[in-house]
Amino acid sequence: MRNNRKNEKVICMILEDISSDFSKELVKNVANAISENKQVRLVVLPVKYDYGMEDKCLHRYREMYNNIFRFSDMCSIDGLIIHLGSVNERDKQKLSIIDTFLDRLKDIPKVLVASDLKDAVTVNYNNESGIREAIEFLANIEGLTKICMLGGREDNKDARARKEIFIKCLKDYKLDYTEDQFENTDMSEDSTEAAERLLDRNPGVQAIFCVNDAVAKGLYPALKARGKVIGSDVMVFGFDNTRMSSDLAPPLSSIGSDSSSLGSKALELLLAMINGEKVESDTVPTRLYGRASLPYEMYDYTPVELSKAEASFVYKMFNDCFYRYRLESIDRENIDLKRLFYEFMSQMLIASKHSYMDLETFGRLCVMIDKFFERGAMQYTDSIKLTKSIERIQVSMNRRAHSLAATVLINRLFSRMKDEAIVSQSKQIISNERKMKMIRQQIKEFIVSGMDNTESRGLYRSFDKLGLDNALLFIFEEPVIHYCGEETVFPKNIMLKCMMHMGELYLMPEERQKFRVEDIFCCNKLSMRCNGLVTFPVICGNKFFGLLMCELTEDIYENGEFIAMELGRSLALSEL
Amino acid sequence: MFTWNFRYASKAHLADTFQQLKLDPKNGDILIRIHTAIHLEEEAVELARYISQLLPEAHIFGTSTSAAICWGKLIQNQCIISVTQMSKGTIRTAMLPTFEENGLPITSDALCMAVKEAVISDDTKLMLTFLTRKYLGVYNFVEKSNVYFPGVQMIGGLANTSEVSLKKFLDSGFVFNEKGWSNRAMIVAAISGAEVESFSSCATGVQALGEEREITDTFCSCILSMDGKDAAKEYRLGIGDELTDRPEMTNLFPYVYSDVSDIPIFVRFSENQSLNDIFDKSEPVIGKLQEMYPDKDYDTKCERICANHNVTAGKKIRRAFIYDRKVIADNRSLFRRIENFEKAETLFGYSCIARSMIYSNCVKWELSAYENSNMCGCITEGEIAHVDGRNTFANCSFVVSVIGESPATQEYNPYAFSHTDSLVADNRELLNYLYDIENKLNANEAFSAADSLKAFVRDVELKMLYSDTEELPNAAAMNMDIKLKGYDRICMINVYETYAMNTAFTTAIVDLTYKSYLTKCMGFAKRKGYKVYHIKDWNIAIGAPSYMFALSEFVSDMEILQRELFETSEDYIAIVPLFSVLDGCTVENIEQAYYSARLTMSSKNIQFCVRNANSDMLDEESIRERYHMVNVINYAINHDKVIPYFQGIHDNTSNTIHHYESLMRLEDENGDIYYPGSFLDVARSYGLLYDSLSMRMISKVFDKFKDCADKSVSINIGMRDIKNREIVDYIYDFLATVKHPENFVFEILENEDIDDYNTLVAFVDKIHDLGGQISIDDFGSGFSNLKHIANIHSDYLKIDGSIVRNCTVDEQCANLIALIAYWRELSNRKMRIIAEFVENQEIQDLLLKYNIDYSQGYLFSKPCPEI
Repeated sequence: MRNNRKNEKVICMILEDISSDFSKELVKNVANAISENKQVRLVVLPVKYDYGMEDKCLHRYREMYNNIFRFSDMCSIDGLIIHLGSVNERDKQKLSIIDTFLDRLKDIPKVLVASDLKDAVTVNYNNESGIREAIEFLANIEGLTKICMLGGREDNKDARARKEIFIKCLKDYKLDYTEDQFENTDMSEDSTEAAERLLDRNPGVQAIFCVNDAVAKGLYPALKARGKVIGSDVMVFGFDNTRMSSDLAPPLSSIGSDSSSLGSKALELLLAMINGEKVESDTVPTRLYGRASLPYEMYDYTPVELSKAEASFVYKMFNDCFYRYRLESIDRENIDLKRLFYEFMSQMLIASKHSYMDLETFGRLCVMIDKFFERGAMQYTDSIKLTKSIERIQVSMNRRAHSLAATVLINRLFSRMKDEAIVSQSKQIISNERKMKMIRQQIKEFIVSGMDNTESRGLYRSFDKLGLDNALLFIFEEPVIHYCGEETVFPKNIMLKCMMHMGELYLMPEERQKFRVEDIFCCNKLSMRCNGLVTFPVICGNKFFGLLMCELTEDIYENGEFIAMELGRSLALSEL
Repeated sequence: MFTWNFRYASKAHLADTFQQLKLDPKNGDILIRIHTAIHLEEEAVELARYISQLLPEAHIFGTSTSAAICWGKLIQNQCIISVTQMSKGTIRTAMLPTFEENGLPITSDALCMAVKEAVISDDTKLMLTFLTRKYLGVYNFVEKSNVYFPGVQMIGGLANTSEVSLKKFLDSGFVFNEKGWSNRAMIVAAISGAEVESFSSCATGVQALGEEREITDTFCSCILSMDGKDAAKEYRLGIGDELTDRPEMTNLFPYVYSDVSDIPIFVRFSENQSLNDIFDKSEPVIGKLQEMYPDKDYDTKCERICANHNVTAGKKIRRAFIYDRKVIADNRSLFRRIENFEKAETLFGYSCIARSMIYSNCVKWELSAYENSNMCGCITEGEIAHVDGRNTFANCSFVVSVIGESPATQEYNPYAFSHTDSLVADNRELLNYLYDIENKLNANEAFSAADSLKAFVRDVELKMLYSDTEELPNAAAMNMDIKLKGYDRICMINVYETYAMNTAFTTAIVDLTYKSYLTKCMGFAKRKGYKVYHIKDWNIAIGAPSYMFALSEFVSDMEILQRELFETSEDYIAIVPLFSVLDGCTVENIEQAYYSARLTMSSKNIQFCVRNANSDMLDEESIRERYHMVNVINYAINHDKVIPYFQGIHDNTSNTIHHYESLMRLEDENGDIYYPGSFLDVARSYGLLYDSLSMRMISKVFDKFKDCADKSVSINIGMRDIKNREIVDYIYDFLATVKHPENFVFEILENEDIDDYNTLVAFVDKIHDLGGQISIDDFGSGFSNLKHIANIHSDYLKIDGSIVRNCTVDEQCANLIALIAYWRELSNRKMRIIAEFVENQEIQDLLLKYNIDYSQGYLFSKPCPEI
């Protein structure tokens, strides 16, 4: 089975820990950058960061899991985007599976994200611009002198760089720094303990910089336990500007990419490389995105601008309120939210300028605003930021307002926007919860139906119970046995046992199951309109059964591995 | 009555024409009209004199003009002479002064009396009347004529010359006869007789809008105030400030007298002029008027509006504008009445200069209905028309009279009215104006000014942007929405073959079907919040802005609508509406996108398609690439750089080279070699380039092999070549004369659209007759009609490379090769089989297994310029 779509490029993304906010963000960025250019197929291979033998069981699982690396050199792919925090210049001496793996892939164009390997093309954050912006803001607050930092792992290149810049900036702004003001974390949410230590040492801390958003998430409960009000008693800001940061309470200010995201930049470089162009490593500029935890306004609306209501101003306002939109490349086929915002906002501003709005226009604008939020505008901002921005505009408009009638209508439109913002976000949260419940329910059904029928055929028949709309299940004819510390040899062929396509289950007939492993990523079976695929190993114990390829969806980041594990266990049971 | 028109060429020619026409005053009165765009005053009189020498009894009626109308056509820079001879009726002409000797204009009453005295009799039916611009009392004169000689229809206007300016009045027009010329006189010709009947009317295309307003103060032709407000300022506020930059726009937006609703009185707008600037004080009448009204301000410079005749206070006027559909509608109704007039012996037609300025195609278009009639007339600056039983002075009109003594018909051309495209294109100025104004209103720069402007623009849009039959926004509205409101997703819906429907069903049921079709579309669109536009007849469009509707939902909605339209009940005719959804539309690309969508739909016979309007637009790089290729091809043709390469075809039994395939390559000036893949498509799209390439290639290959006894060669031949007489004859001639015609194999491309098998078979037979051989190329690549292939007696069959290349990895490909081999065996034909793209030994082994005769590919040799 050859890849018939000759022009389609298969791009493989290898990253550690797909459920981390940073990884999620990165995958989304790349996937979004692709949707404009349909000639690229994205395959994500999530791997595990294996930091040694301390826990035998876990280590074995990780080593087993990481066999999935092998597929990146077995299968035909056109390019690679790699984010492995542990691949960096300093740790190069330590030989690991990753090094041999990089060596094997040396002929394939690849871009490394957040890495400092000298001989590779890399994309990194320009850490300095954002941190400097934040420190400068803090330094200018009257009476604010004590800023601490929750740093990262020593083996992480960005963590080291951010610490250095942090210290440098403090010095530049004549703020004190001692090592007491710093504490390492493992860069995950489990940083509450580290935070406690830092807070114990620095009881009078006024602002804390977290090396990434996840660490800040860990810091929050520590601060709250001490009765500190985040945002006024202690200001907190993180790094990466992940979606999660706006879901925190209060929303977390965070440093993030300014113009193009890490992922889209990496894809851009990679595509250029595939086209045979010579590319060089690049950085992505960063800036501070102010939210409630550090009340920093990125942009001030002046009354003059408001009264002029020029197009450029309305667009700027949009970029400010929906700060995430700019970084996503939005598919032309979808609704252009920016334009929609412009359409209603400019009419509101003009109406306020002329103190007149007729009811017909009011009705039309209401419809537009409803549509705006219905179409997921809230994905690109957080409700606190938006309501605050709206209030600012409202206040400044009302101050100048002459006509009561028009003002009433305009204010009604603004409150409609605020309501919609909050409602749509809470709806989102509720639906997420429901979804989680449903997935649990589905997997339960899958297990139950598997109990009845221990044969593997029965298992494939209940593949649709896993709640995946689009997915492929590839299984080796015989499970491959992995011996600890040795390299596993995979057979050349693999069987496509069953697939889900648009929510429908297809069981493949015997004669059409056989695929060459090298072709699985370019197989046409999944030529549906999806942003990309994630591949999880189906394993149990030391047996490697095959691969589960799923469409990239919102919840697969969290559930994919779990589903694959469940599949592996069921397969192992059916073998008995 | 008899009328003949001709162009004046020379005096000798003129005399000759008169002789041929056998004009004899004894048979009846003769009227000779001269409308000249080329003669100066004295020359014109000289011409008139010459005519009167030839025909002393003839009545001569001469005017200057900017362009003449002759046999219903507009003719520029010519002098037209029209001769009308009456049978029983009489003709009287007169040239009467319009000014007293002291320089004051003669009052309209006096002028009417003079005219009546000079030419009018009891049975006068029609009077041709020409004045000049100097006489500003023309409106009053024409009005009074209704009192002094009621029942006499008047037609004519103000003489002008080709010196034209819309911004300034020029007074260069004159009237003349054999006795002399004048620009301060009028010339009339009355046609009388008991049997004479005539009908006169006019078409304007003017749509009156809005409230009535009263003129409250004037000076001569200048309107000073309306409803007590500054008239010029009111006018500018109503039209928008654009007026100051584009004063010619006033032509689009004239005032009309509200008592004769659609007769425009022209208004011209000027900035910064005092009354003294406009009116020459040295003219006696102006001087006298200034004495009469000493309290008026003659010196202040400000904006002014003027008509082209004296305007009197107390008259009621309304605003108006001129647009295409009204022009069309007016002309149609005018034509219908002209067409039905029984005594259509002679047609007079006068059209306005301003009309051709606003709608440059308008005059030509409206005349085209009269193209085969004897209509003669000219372009004037203001017209005298007879509307609804009254004579009136009009502007921007097309006035027509038809007259005769006995029943007669003219050959009209009513089909002209169905081609209105040129006229619609003329609307652009008006639409651009609306775009600008809308933009400004949106940005609200002109807000403070603009309540009246807004109302006016809305009224104009209501007329302009709505189809008159269906109360739906029209194509112009769609363009406007695309441009201003971002409606960039458009679904075009059309029903074809409605003609067939009309022949099979009654009009009533067709209409009912049409109504239900429209209602369904409108109802659906309304439900979903889309906008419907009526483009033409059954063609409608549904628009959605991309910021409100995602493409996927728009497409699925349109699919639902299509299904709804398909559902028919017994009450209606079943229709098949074609849907093309165009994404990313702009005013510039929508037409192209719709066109190519229609092409694909009809070629693939599908009724629904989605298309990105931008994708049809070539990007800059590919356009450049294309032109580069054209250059390369041209260079190769002109510099003998069409180079045949040859690839050996390996004989699998004897292990020798059996023959060579010739492959075309081009070389550019840098010596770079181009493969057919890069230039063939471009060459095909410029068919002639392809023909030259083929010809050069064939002759080069022939040259190389004509003297070889032991080497054969194959040449690729496309269907286009086979249809090309020149190439085919060349091949036949060559084969007939060459020593070893059997050395030449012609490879016919199987995948090309072979649309004409008879020609192909004839070619194949002829080649065989002449001793040449035939091969079928790329067998199995297209969807071959196997029966046709079987009927062609080819000597070779070449299996398509894509099948061969994959035969070792793809079982299906291997099966196909087996099938072809078996077919040959079964049919017991002498045909030999060639496999191309044989790249490795693995493939070759498989081919040998199936007894394939010849192999061609990199395994054996690469193409190269030498054998």
